[in-house]
Amino acid sequence: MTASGPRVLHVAGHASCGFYSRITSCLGSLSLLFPSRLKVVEHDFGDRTKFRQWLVDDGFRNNFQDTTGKEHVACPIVWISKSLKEGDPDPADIEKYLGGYDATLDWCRDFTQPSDVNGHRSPVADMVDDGHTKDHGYEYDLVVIGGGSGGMAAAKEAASLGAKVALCDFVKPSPKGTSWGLGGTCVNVGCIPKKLYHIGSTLRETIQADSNFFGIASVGTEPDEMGQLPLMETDMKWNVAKENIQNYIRSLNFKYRVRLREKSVQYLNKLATFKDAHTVELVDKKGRTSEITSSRFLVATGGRPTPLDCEGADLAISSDDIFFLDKDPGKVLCVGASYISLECAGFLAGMSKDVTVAVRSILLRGFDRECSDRIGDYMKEHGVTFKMKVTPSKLEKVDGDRIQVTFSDGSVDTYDTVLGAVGRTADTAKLGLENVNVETNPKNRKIKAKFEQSTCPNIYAIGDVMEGCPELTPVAIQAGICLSRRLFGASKEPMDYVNVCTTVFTPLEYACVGLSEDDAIAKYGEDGIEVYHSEFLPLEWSLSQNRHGSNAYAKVIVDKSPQENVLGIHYVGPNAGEVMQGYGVSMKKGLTYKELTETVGIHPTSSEEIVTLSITKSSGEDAAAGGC
Amino acid sequence: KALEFSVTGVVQPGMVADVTGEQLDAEMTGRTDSVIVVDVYATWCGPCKLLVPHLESAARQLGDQARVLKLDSEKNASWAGRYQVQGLPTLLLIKNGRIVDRMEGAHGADAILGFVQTHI
Repeated sequence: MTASGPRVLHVAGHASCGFYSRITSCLGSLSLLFPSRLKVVEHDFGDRTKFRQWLVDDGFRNNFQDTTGKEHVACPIVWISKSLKEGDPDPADIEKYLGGYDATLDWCRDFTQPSDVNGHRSPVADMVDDGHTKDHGYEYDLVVIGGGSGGMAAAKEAASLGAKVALCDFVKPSPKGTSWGLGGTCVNVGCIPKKLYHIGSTLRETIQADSNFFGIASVGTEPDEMGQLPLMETDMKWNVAKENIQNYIRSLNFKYRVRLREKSVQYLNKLATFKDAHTVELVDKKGRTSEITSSRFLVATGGRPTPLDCEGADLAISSDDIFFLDKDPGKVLCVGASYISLECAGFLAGMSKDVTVAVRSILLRGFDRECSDRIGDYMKEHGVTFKMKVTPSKLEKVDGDRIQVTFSDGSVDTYDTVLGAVGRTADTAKLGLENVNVETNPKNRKIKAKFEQSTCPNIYAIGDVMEGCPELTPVAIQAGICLSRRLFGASKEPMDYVNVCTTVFTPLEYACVGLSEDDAIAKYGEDGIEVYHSEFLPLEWSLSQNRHGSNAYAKVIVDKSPQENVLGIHYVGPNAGEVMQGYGVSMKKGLTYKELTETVGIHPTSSEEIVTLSITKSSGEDAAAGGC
Repeated sequence: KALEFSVTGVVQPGMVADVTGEQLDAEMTGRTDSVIVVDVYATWCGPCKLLVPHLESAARQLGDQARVLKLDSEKNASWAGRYQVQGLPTLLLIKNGRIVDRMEGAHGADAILGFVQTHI
């Protein structure tokens, strides 16, 4: 390529060829729009015979280094030259063989996409042809295994695009016997109940910590001689909360069954196993078996909690059980420092339970270290006991129903409930994947996939069960819809897994999008980034004397390019999920520090702290915010 | 007399009877000269619980003019599916062995009576 100057593309073919005329038209438009970046030289050989004569018989194609180039026969053929010379094709002036019609279109797409740090160019989703045809002769076009967030979204989208779809959802009860209806983990034993318990316990905590300072007290209570009202003492009744939350979830199960029916998706409450690449065997809860066949399959079985592996581990419950315990959990030990463990510990502590968290090494592995530590500090100040660098070695039943736990450091304590939240394993063990050559990662059992297609071309995977998918409901939903559009619509768009916002609903909430500070340093070096940050007290906590130790925190990580591209945004504080959503949109489009801080803040909010960040870590200045 | 009123014997004039899908089918096909009103409900559904006293009052007032039944949609999921029940509670009006009308949501006894009587 000329050092500075346009890329020069040569196109050879004949004008009577539709592909040649379309490519020259496309390249012609681009060189008209971007003359400093692209120059096109056309070689019209008049007809197919003369073109082949030149390319094949006279052997112009032998001048290409690339073996594909040497075997190229079709019209058109495109290559990049070194100089700006026009005239007949010059074998000495070849820089690189580009390809034919499809390859050149791909090149044109790349040419037109702006490339910067955040606005990465997604490749076209090149899935392997799985042999699906309209008259395949199987009972279904698509059978989805797993009726969770991803499975249902994919099933409904495929059906709305005209596919004949069946969805098999079957919940294997947890070791403790807990089971649930249609909707998957999120709806039944994940996001939904978690958030409801979190909302309830935060509500209770807010009432208790803040009400009296706002002049709120039970009817008939009068201020004391200092003009202050007493704390509003409250209790959160486990059984009432559980009953109402459970009823709400059942209404969701019902709603999802109705929605599947509305979209003409056949719902089968049966456990599916692969017999061969086009057949699954089904078993219902009464043990009756049947079979169905399909052209394509989608595995969306998600994951299940990994059990503890110490002595007496069967005495522990998991997140599958905690939300629907028949009786109050009492004094609780949460084993693990994942967001599941911390979120559960958080809402239980908010319900005034005695809660201990046993942490093997660090909190929230994979998340920003600084923000994770802030979450831990807040939880400690709010009644959660942390036992650091320990794991349980033994669980045994004592006093009837209580559980005595011996830890790895020798300490012993007794609890009413032990919650094991040490990780989740993909639910693929008994799917019969070995019968269909679908490869999984031996460590976490997740299905290996490219563009959501497994190693068996007509079997696809999305969501928690797929390797490389962030374990989040909205990601599974979008990946499912995207995949269905590629399978049954005309789409070639891949799913974008980058810059997905996420929120941890611990008592002090935390939301982020993009890179953590630790990952940014690993990628760019400590000198390659700048961090703008601020520590502040949200207005809603300003009246309460109980809150003065608690601070919210926001930081933005940028690279050291002239425009300071934003690599990550982090917010630790109330309503974190609501705060972060909008920033996710701007991150998708590529965001600079200037664009962020030129956005006028909404006042008074916590979110405005993000658009007014000005103090850098490197300056050493105090990040605690000043006045209004 | 109860057996003339109800095919399966499960419901009597003036009362509301909880039935299975099979019993509902039997009532629908076994006797087509009187209407059936079915409350499709679920135990976890708040408005369904609100409806109960109103339905009972309407049943008392209807006497032997209609058979008043209720169907648990969770225990009889395939019937709820077959009858395209989209929300709960849903009152289905069955005449001559077919569903001819439906009313969704919790309503007072008068509204229920009005709904049923347009078909008697």
